[in-house]
Amino acid sequence: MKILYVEDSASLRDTVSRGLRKAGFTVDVATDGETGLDLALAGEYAVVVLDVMLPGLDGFEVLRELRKAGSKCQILMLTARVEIADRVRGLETGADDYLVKPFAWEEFLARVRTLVRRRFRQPSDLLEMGDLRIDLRAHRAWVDGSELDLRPREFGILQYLALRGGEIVTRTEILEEVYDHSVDLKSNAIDAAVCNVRRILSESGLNDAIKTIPRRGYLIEKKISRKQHGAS
Amino acid sequence: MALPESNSIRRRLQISVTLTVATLFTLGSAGVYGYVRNQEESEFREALSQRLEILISETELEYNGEIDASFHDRATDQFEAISESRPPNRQGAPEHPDAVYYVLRNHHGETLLKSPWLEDESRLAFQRAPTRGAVEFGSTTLGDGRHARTVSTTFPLPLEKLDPDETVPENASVPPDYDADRPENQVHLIVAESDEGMRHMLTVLGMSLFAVGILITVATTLLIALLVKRACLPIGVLGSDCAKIGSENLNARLVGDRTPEELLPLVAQFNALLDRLEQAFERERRFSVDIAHELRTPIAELRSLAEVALQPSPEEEAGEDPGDVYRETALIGERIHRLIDTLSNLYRSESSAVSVRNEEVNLRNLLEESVATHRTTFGSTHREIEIEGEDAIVIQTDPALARGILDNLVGNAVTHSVPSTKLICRIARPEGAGTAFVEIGNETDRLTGEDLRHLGEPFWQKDTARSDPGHFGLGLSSVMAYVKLLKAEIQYRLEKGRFLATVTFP
Repeated sequence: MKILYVEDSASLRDTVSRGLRKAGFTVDVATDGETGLDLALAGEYAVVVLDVMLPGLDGFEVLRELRKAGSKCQILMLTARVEIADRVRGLETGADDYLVKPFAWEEFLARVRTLVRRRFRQPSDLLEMGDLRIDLRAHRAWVDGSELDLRPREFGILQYLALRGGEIVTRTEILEEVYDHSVDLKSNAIDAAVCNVRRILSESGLNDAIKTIPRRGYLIEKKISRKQHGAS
Repeated sequence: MALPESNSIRRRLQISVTLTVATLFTLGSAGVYGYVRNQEESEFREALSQRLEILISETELEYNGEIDASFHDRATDQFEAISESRPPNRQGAPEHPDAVYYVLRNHHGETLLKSPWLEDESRLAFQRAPTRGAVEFGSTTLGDGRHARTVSTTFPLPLEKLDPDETVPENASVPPDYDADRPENQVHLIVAESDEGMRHMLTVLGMSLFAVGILITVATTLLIALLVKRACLPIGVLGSDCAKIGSENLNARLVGDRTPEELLPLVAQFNALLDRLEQAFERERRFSVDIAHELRTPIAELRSLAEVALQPSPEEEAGEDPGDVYRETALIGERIHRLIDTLSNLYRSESSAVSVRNEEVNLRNLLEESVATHRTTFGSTHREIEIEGEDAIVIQTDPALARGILDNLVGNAVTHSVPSTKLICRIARPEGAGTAFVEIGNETDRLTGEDLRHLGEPFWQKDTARSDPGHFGLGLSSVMAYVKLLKAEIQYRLEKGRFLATVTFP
């Protein structure tokens, strides 16, 4: 899941983006308002974490421009400004959440996850898709009760496909949401990772749970059962 | 908040004006009454004295030893005439309001003549027989109960004057050597007349004045209440407008369109006060926001650093290098330490807790030392620095505080000047001024005239994002505090794209 973090404090920017990556997110960073706005408008981010006091455009202006441009991404304002007027201003301008510095890391992560769920209209951290069950918070997945042995990137792909259940997901979208531009779209890294996930699911009894749609991308149905996708 | 009634201007005005009017009217009435009474009594006494004179002139001693008093004959005739036509009053005397009462006594106090209306002659008794020629006034109550004024005197009883063709009768009982001036030949005359008419008139006058006074006081009270209410209306409106202004709408101002001119200075002062209050609130708000940012951000950095480091890393990725975490922590801690130190110094300076130790200081040497500490930064940004002015300007000042001022000003000039431009520092001692100044100027493309007003406010920075972790925006606040401690002056101005800071040392 891809997150954009716009923050001018180098120390906080490095720490928070590192923490988000540890939590399984893909993170892009920007150090000023203009760069942040450009990135947010250009990329598909599940969540934008936005500082208020930024060089160039401040956080409120970035937020206003994003909403004016029709951006539907979830926006979390993260700022040292504690005044109620600032919170109200942020929320009324279009922020989805507002967190004041200093903050507890667990709370920050919980808020980011909530915004991600909201982005995909998912009510809880537990994603039930028939025999497949995914815990978005714990980064674990099960098929009919037995846990899948997934690496973080593989979990990221499964999670994203599952959150978009019933929709065709392009390789570009996977690249943007799961990889932080660390691989080339022309390489077969994404296909290889999807192949691994498909193999792990097959080993648990879900054959062809991930369908390849030629020249378009991949698809997972909203309901997956071993009966339907079981080994012949 | 409504004022207590006792503190109401309206009530006070109303009471004081009413009391003043009532007092003035009472005094005026008393004056009028006193004057009229005095006049009336004076006229009454005058009339009584004249009557006394007339009675004296009509009294003489006949040669046969009898008293000849024509007024007594007239009175007796009048009394008898009235007695026949009118019933007597309760004392037995006939009613005659204008009757004159008199008693003539000899020097032994024996009554020689008395008014026929006077039943009880003791009512016209002497307190003390007046000496000859003296006229004494008194008062008494007549037999019919009326109040009367008396006048009495002692006079020599003259012997009747004979016509030139008359001779002294043979049977004359008056001795031929009769001398009216002898004490035994002197008589006392007391005349009384009722003053009921005058007293009645004075009573009516007094009652009239009292009634009019009450009426005027009541009418004045009502009228004054109305007038004071009208006059105080603008004060009420002003008070109500003031009450509507609170911390949430400090931008509101009093409108002086319909305010009386006496209150206009008050409105102007109040509005000026609101301007200052609004600015102070704005400064306080900015201060809170800025200090929140300056403290909350490094605390957030520290907390995140620790909590993220404690998070498990994915298997294929290496965790943080603990050395990096410690180094980062130390840097953040050092920044907080510097902030606290600067704030603490600023507080001590502003509260005059710093002692000033003046000594002779060469201003140029001090400036050169300060410039030397910033040489590295000049080099890295290709700036030049030039010091102009006299070498031997020595002033009496605290070298540490003066150095603090110069360090901050030179540092600011270096940090905020346009790259590759020249910094010029000037030192001079104007002739006869008794002061010396240092002027530090740099090229700027960011500061505006409006910004100059905020220089010196704690935490104010041109960069509202406060992105530079090396600066807190407290340098010029410290400069202001040091300048105050040294009794120096500082002035900031913009001239043709140059920012100039001038410190004048005493």
